[in-house]
Amino acid sequence: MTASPLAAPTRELATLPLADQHTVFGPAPARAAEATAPAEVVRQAFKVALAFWLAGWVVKVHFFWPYFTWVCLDYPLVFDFFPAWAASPWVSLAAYLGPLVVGLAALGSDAPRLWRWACAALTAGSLLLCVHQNSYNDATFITSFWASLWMLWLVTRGTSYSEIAHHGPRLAQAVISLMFLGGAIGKLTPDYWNGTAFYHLYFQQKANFIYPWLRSHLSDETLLTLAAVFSRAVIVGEFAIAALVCFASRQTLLFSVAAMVTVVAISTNFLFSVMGCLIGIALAGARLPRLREAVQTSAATS
Amino acid sequence: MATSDPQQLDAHEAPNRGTAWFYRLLAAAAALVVILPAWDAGRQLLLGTHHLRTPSFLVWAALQPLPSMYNFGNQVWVSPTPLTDEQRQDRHHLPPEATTLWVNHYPTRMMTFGAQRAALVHQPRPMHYYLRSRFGDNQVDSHYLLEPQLDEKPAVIVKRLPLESGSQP
Repeated sequence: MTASPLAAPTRELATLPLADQHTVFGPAPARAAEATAPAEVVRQAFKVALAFWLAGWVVKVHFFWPYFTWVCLDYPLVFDFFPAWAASPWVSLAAYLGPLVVGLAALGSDAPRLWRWACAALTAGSLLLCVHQNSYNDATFITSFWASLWMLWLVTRGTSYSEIAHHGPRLAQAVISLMFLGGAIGKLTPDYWNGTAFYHLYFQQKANFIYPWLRSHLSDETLLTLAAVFSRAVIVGEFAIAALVCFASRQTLLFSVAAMVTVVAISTNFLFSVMGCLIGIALAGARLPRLREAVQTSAATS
Repeated sequence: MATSDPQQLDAHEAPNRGTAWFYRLLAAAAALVVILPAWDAGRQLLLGTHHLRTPSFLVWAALQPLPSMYNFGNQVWVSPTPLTDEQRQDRHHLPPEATTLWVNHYPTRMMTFGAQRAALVHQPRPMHYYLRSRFGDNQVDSHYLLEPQLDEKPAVIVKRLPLESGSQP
């Protein structure tokens, strides 16, 4: 089977410019003075989460754009498992483009009403793509769905800053932990515990990072042993991140970010489409404890 | 509840209705993720979702939001001619045009995702997809046939065929 141009996206993500970058990586000097306002803390948290969510979708746009607009439209699959709406190429195209357009508009807007509509669109679009014939298999849309639910929760809290400060980080950690729990449970099978699955998926089939070098320098037996160690470490690591929900805090969220960045680094940069939205809500959730300080500052100066 | 009282920020109050619902949704999803694989029928159902073989689309769609990244041991065999069990057991017995690989999840992605359907229309011939997913002691095997249709509107017809052996969900 020859590799199709749509089969294996390869573009690096490291240089991808994030929209609204000054918001993501730190407030501009002019904004620093108002950064203590509670609404500003929520605004920054939302924009961080949204920017990473959108970056996750944009990073694969060169794959999805020709796929949704050419392959799915011109070469439909006729498969009686899916109802007509869940097989329609127009539905998958709208479910992909709609959240991108509305999300980008919300990223450039400070209108909470638009934020709420955008989050509803993000949630609906990713849920549709989770059950659509053309996209059900891409984990991007499962993590995007849960991350957008968290953003929808955030932007519908209004001025309940106590609620946001207390539950925002916990809910963000709960979403991340749920994703890793699903991954860990599904690997509790001999194919993963003895390393066979990872041996094939990574050490035999992957053409990026260190895997070609390992294949040419190590014996099959050594690779299998390495795969077993790697596989068990992944299972234990996924359960560990799932367990972090019991200790949810700013530190556990930042630790989760480090773990997800590591996973992307050792796998494929395209995993950022799956992890990006989770990294976004982790960073956003880690900012929310600042609300306490912001409210105190706001009360002291008023 | 609007507040700007710093004292209230330190109070670990009960979540309001929307927050409580979000906690319940997450807890329900986590419970399903843990409980379903604990019993045989649940494992078969989950394996069936990765083969598009649940009792109905509604059941499948309801399970889709549950995270299942890199779940199960999944293998795929693709061949223009039917393959026997023996050929699939040993890759050295595969015909030259056949290929096999492991897939991280949803082995059906090999036939429904990417540009494979376009390639089939441009090189028109039927293609057999054999899928195998294992989880614990459970195993599901499926056989799909993809047939390009070259009428005025090109399309690819997906048919599930019975397997001569292998457990069925």
